[in-house]
Parts: sequence; C-alpha cells; structure tokens
Amino acid sequence: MKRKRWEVRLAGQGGQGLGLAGIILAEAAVRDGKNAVMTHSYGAQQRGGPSRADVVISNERIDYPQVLDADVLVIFCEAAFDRYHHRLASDGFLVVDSSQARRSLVEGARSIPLPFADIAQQVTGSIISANMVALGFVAELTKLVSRRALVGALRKHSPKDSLQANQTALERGIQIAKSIKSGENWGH
Amino acid sequence: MGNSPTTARRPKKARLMQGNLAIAEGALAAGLGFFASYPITPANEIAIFLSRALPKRGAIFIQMEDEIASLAAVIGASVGGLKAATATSGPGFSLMQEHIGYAAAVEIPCVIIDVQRAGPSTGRPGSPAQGDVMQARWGTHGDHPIIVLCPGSVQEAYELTIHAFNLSEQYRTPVILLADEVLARMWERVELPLAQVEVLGRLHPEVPPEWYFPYDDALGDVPPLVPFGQGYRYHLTGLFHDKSGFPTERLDEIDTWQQRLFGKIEGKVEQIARIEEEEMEDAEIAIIAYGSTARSARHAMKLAREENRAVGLLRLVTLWPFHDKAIERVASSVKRIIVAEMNRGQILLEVERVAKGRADVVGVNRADGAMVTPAQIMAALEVEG
Repeated sequence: MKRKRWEVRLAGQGGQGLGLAGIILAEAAVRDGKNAVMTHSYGAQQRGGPSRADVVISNERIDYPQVLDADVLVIFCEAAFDRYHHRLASDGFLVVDSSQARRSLVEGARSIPLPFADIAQQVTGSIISANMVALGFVAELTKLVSRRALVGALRKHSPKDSLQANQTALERGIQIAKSIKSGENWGH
Repeated sequence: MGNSPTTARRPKKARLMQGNLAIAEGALAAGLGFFASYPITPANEIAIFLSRALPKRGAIFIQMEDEIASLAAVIGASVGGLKAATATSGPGFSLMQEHIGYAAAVEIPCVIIDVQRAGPSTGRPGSPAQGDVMQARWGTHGDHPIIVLCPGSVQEAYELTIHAFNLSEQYRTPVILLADEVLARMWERVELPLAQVEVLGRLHPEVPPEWYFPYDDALGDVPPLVPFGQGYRYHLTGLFHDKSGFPTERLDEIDTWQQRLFGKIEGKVEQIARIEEEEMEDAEIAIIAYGSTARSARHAMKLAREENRAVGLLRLVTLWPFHDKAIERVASSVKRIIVAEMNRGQILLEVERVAKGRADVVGVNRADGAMVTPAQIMAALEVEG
C-alpha cells in the first residue's frame, strides 16, 4: 500500500448488508495498524432505499471521510451504478454484482462483473451473504487488508447466527479473486 | 468530598468505534449516573448502548415520553446528585429549549447531546447538518450563558463528552455537545481508554446546612450545588431569585445574580473556549471550520499547502462562548477568512462581527444534508477577494 489514501465505495440498496461489509473492511484495516473511516449513508427505509458505505483507508491521518474518487466501486444494484459510476477513479476497479445489476462498463475502468448473489446462493443457500463474497473478493483483489485481520473483523461484527454462512461466503470471495489473479479462467 | 480526579490506567488499544458509541463511552467514563431520552435518528445508538450499559452499573436509563420530559428528568436527577445527560437531534432539540433555559437560570449541571441532522422540521433524518449552532446559543428565551462543544473526530467525541461533564460541574451549567450526523455515525480508529482522564465531581460547600445558600456569591462565582436529600434545604425556581433561591423582584438582587451568572462563563472565555490552529504562522488565507466540516477544511488546506499556498486552518472546538480574541488575531493577520459550515452562514456572522472588516470574510455553505466538500473550499480559495 504505497498510496496515501485508498477509497472503497459499496453501493446498493438497504438490506444488502453493505454497511456491515464496510465496518468489517474498516475494522480489518485498523487491526492491520492502519487508519480507517467508514461512513454509511442510507434512507429512512430498512430495506430497498439507496444505501452507500464509504471506507477510506490510509497510513496517515484521514481528514475528509467520504469517497472522492473511488479506487474500488462495488455495485449491488442498477440504480447504484447510475448514481455513482462517475465517482470511479480513472484507474479504479469497478466490481459489479452481475446477478443484481446489468451494466458494468465505465470507460477506462477495470471492470469486473461477477454474480455475487448467485455465488452466495450456491455456497450458503442464501443470497444474503452476497456482501461477504464481494468483501472477500475486494480484499483479496486489492490486498488492502490482510486475510487474518479480515477474518477477525468478520468474527467480531457478524451476527452470530450468520457467522458460519458469512465465513463461507467470505472465503469463496477470496478464492475467486485468487484464481482470477493467477490468470485462471473462472467461468460463470 | 469536592473535586475528585480519577485516572483510567488501562493501556491504550486501537480499535474501530462509531462516534455515537464514543460519546456514550465518554459519558460512562465521566461517571454518568442517569440518562433519559426519546428515540430519534441519528442519535439512537447512544441511547441503545446506554440502555444496556447503565443498568449493569446500577445507574438509570429511562426512555421518556418525549424530549421535553427527557430534559426535565435529567435536571431532576442532577439536582439529586447524579451526573445526568440526554441525547437528541434537531426536532427533539427544539423541544428541549425551554428546559435548557431553566437549567441555565437555575444553574443545574447537565449535558445535552445534539446530533445535528438536516432541517428545519423533519428534514433529512439520516443526513448531516450544522444548522443548530445558533439554536444552541439562543434557542431558549431570554439572555443566558451557555457552553457548546463541537467534536471533530470519533476520538475527540469521547474526550469532549468527558470534558462536557467536567465543564457542567465546574461552572454549574448545562453544556451542549453539538455533534453532527457524519461524526456521530461514522466508524473511525480510536485509541481508548485515554492515559489520563480527569473527571470532576460535584463541588460541596464547606458551610453547614443552616448557613448554606445555593446562589450565595460569598461561596464564589460558582456556589456549590448540594444534592437534595443531604440535609441542605433550599428552593429552586426559574423565576429570578435571590441567594436563597426564592423569587425576588429586587433589582439589586437580580443584578447581583445576573453579574455572577454571566460572569462565570463570559468572563472566563479564555479558560473555557478551545481552538486549534494549524499552519497559521504564515497564512494569508484562514479557513475556519468546526465538527466534521473541519475535516473537509483540513483536507483542502493540505491540498493548498501542496501547491505552496499560504493557507491555514482554525478549528473551533468550543463554539460558545465564542472565542472573540482568537478570531480577532486571525482577522488581523490574514487577508481572507473562509468560514465553512453545513448551514447558511451561522458562525460566519460571528466571524464577521469580530473581524470588523479587518479581513475579507467569505462563507462556504450548504444546508442540503451533504458534507461541504474539499473541492467547494478549494473553489473559495481561488476567488480573489
């Protein structure tokens, strides 16, 4: 991590667990000895309204706490793509849950569509852990946080009754990123 | 009895914490014994946490029927000798105004936490603002002194909450912790507990009950307030009162009381008001900001410094009493002052009042429920005054 400031935005709808994913990512960064800030913006609805979690990670003091130009933009619904695709940094990663959003192209961006909800359904029996598949994927893709810190942070913040499913989903996300990075062709 | 400083000795540990939880933890560290509130976004996590933590310590949590009753209960608990607090947001803060005046006039220590959200009215409940700055100062009717603190980080939210309780005891006054939604709901790295935490207890008079008067200036600027039930019998009223606490119409007694009431805070601005200056030595432009907006301001200041521009930052930690002298110094040393805030220009007016034209004063303002961005402040730096 050479850069001063890394910005990750997780955008979708209320109920998709993006706030929790943001907290776990920020917690993992703190466990790795870095500074981290997580802000979560959402509507009055428990489910269905727009939801956005911003995580800023740095080795230095973090002032402005929200995303300015996302190094990683994770999209969990079509509306989130419309709202935020222009906030992606020119060399940023666009990570789209292709089972929940169709479009995944931003000019110049490194675009990675993956069916996180479908994968979560396969490995845990429910799409509710799609957030953890995406989190594991992003963490391994960017190496922003260590795996050890990530798993520890998950254990701390995951609701107990879904910890097992979340761990399985997180591991699957890590595994997929590893296989993509090693050049294997991961079909979906 | 008297002041009893206590010190936390556990080693510092870095962890991720939400601003609202840091406020609640700070209140516990200060010795919170009573908390009453009514649910409201975005302050809810404070009450949720304290509803679990306080009973475990044998302390009291009450969810009241509304915010008017919440602050009334807090004032009563404080008169009973407990460190007491409430937490709310804009709409609830509006309801509390009458009792803030009562606490200021009757001189009851208490802490009121207002997590500002976009308003007026219901506004945007989950979105930030700094629109309650003037309400915190003047929201209740009648002239009165008040102390208002404004945290800029999660770590500082913890520290300033303890400080708020200390000031409320030290000056026998309500203290308002004026947070904002960004700060209160964001999660950030903190190092807690602090190595040294000074916690002030309630002052106790050295006179026997029969000689005690709750507003006796012979006992000092801040006469000790003895909790009810300890044998010291006295009267409390929101009416103008004499040293015994009973109503008075005598102008000489009212004058004595008012001199002391205002003097204890407005005469001690230098001791009470905290500010933080950065890169101000050679600054030609000063950015003044507070709360989460000070983070946008510092971001912009750093960017400007990378471009070798002489820009400095003055962060207000204490909003009220207003630190006139610090602003005067800045106004005399820079060409332009930019006041950034999430409202339509509330502290801007104070800065203009104090600057008296010595520097150009420009506002960067928004009240739509979004943070002031570094880019907005950078744009204000570009404009030639």
